[in-house]
Amino acid sequence: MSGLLLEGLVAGRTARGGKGFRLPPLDQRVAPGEVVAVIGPNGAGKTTLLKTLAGLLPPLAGSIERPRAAWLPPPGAVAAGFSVLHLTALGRSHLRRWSSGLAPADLAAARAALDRLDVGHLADRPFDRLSSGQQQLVLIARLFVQDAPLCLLDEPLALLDPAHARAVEAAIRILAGEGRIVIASTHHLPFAARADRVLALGPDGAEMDAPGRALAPDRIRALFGVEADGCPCCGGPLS
Amino acid sequence: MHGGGTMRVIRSMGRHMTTTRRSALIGLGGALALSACSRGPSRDDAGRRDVVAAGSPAALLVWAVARERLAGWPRRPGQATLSALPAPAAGLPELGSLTGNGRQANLEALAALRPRLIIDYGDTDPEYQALAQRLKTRLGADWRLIDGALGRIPDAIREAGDLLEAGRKADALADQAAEVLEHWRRAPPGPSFYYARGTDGLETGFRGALATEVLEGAAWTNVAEGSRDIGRVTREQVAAWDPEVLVTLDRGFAMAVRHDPVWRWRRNGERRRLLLLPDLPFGWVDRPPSVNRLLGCAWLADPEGSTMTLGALSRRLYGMALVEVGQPRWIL
Amino acid sequence: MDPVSRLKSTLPTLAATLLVVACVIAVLATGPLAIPPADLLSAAFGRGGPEAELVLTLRGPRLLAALTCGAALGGAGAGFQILFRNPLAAPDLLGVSSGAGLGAALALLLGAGTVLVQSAAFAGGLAIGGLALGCAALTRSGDGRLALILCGVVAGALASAGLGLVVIVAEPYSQLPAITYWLLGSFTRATLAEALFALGPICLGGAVLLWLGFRLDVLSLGDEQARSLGLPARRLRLTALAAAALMTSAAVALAGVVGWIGLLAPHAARLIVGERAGRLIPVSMAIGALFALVIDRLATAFGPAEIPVGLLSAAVGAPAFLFLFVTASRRS
Repeated sequence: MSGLLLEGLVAGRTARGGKGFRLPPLDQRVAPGEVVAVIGPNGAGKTTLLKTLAGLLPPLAGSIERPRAAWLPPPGAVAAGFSVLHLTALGRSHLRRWSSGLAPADLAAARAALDRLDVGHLADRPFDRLSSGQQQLVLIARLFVQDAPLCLLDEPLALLDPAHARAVEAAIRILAGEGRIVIASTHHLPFAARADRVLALGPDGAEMDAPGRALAPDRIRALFGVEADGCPCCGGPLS
Repeated sequence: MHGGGTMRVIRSMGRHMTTTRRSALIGLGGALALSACSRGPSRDDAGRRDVVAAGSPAALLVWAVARERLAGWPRRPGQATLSALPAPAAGLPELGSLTGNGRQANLEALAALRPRLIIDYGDTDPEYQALAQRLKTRLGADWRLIDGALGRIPDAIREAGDLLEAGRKADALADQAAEVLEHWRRAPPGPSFYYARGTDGLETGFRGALATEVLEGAAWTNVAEGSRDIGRVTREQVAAWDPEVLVTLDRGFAMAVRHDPVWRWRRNGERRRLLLLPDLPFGWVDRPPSVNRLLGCAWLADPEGSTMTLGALSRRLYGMALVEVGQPRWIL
Repeated sequence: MDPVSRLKSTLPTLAATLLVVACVIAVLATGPLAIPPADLLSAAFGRGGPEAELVLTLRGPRLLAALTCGAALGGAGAGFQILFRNPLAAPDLLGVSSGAGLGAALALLLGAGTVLVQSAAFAGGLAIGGLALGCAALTRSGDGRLALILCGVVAGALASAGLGLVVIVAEPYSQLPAITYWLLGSFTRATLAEALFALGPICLGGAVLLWLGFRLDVLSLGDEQARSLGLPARRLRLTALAAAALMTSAAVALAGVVGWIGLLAPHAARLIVGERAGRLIPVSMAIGALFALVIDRLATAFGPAEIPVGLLSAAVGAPAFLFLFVTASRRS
């Protein structure tokens, strides 16, 4: 699986009546198997960056060299009335260009992915009857089915209770462990602390660093404007 | 009758046609259109054209009795109809209807024409009486409602003649109408029929409806039984009724089904007869329900030998000779 | 999947199809013309008497029209409800029905025959639907659902305004009833040629929707998800909308404006087979066809006059929809 290469990438939205914004140019290289956490205050542009990396938004400048990407919106953004199994199997849509339906192999792959994340027992339930945590695990199972070399997750741990958050984090580790690039934005700094690298998007620029340096108290203060010797959102220890 | 005004009439015909279409498209341009129309050609006759017809049936009655006093058409007849009427017909403006059928008249513009008399011809419903009273106060013209029943056409003609001061002409017409109706009532029994309305022929008048009154009164039997009104039926229903004759005013329908076995073959294997009644200038049995129906009555009373009567009647009613307006046809 | 569960998953579709077949036979065998079923059967194989042949000629196209219109409206309604993620989406969302009505009314105003009326209606529906799609495409906003709905409402309103204009200008004794009855809907006026003519676009649109299947599920997740899952979201959505508009246009051109089928059938189907497009669309088509057969039967069940199916579909469909809605919400 190939890596991600950004050359002078400027992500952002074009001004429409003065509401546009631009992120600072990014020159980065991410190797397969890396987990990168993107942190920053609300409105810094994390979602815009992820969407640009996923190919859903055009970059304002620069270039991206990337393999096939899969994008996951924040929990609660996916609403579907059909079964969990069907939703997961839809991850193979990119393989079914001309056929009129999903193949049995797709359903088998879906079932395997669900079992792997211990949500196999939910396979026949309607998706919108699950809890946020269960839905998120199903969607990550779908990421496995999609088998994209680059996975972009927008705040994957938001709204989740600690048990489900841990399960999701473990699943993200497995995703990366199989050689994929995982880039996830988060407010949950302990998760960032356990990532391979941290990209901090702030008012004065974007910096990619090792977690230890990126999450140092003075950097956190400069980024969020609050004192924090623990995680600002849950108070847990930072490292 | 309008001598040197012919050129003016022809020129204004073009203007009126585009004015009418344009006003239809603008929709609410009633006042605009009517003010444009009233600047039309009959300026020299403005004093004489002082009778307004409230609806199409009334317009036909006034046209028959005193056509030089008709101020305008409630609804402008089609091009084919106008060609089947004397030239002045095309020069009359479209005024809109006062009875609720079709485009409504602009009352202010109508008042600007200073009509002296408004004639309505049709239902003598008490509701219409109230409407008549209201309009009388608003327009300052005398409103008269004349009973439109088929059997009372001679009386209606005489009443109109009195109102319009066209006594002699109206009397002659009324006498002829009475004679026609007399023969019509005594007509020998005719075949069973189905009256096909509309281009697909699936709309009909059931027994007792106004639309089929002329045919039923001539002792023809209407196979359609149901409400005493107009309604839709299916072709299978017509086949089940198995009429001897299909009667229609619609040339398009007649041409479309002349070779269609579904319509033409009867249950006993014979070919069903197809009667196409003339539609110009106005229908012989229907459309609108007015004095035009006399032609249907005359012909049904005596299909073979009524040519003379029909000619005279047509000349009196419309001002055109019969040969110019068509004959009933049995379609093979 | 083992044979048992495969059978279980296709059971609803199978049951619906069998039900449709049973209703077809029932409708074919009953009507005003009493024919022994044996005669009908031999006529179906070309060896029947002339009367049985006539009956088949009369009932066959009507049946075909009802089935295809019902299936088309059911399928289009299901497609729209999935695409818009809105249980109140109906086939008229893009204004197609209003456009088709306008086309037909214009053709009737100009005195065209039934074939031209059908073609004009089809063209009108596609034109207004295309207008809505085109305007929505101009806005380029996200997945454009709101833009589509708004543009559909606007386009439909324009068509309705045009229709109102035509109604005002139409001749009240012949054209206006024809237009009114056309708009109210009927399965019986179609000839075999017209029914077959409508079959083409309906089958095409239906095939496209059935092929789209799971892709509609992906589209219903939103454009960003759809693109992330590797599908050309905009193109597919346009294809689905065009297919649904094609089916609706052809159905309205054939039978007039028959509402509520497109709203009701998907809801009923959803209660039976759930939300997956791959199963919802075919079952919705079957239920739509069934519903159309039922109201077609009812249209001629109360006397010789035909009750317009548009009225019946509202009279039966609205309470049925309420019932389904209550059932569905009780269940969840």
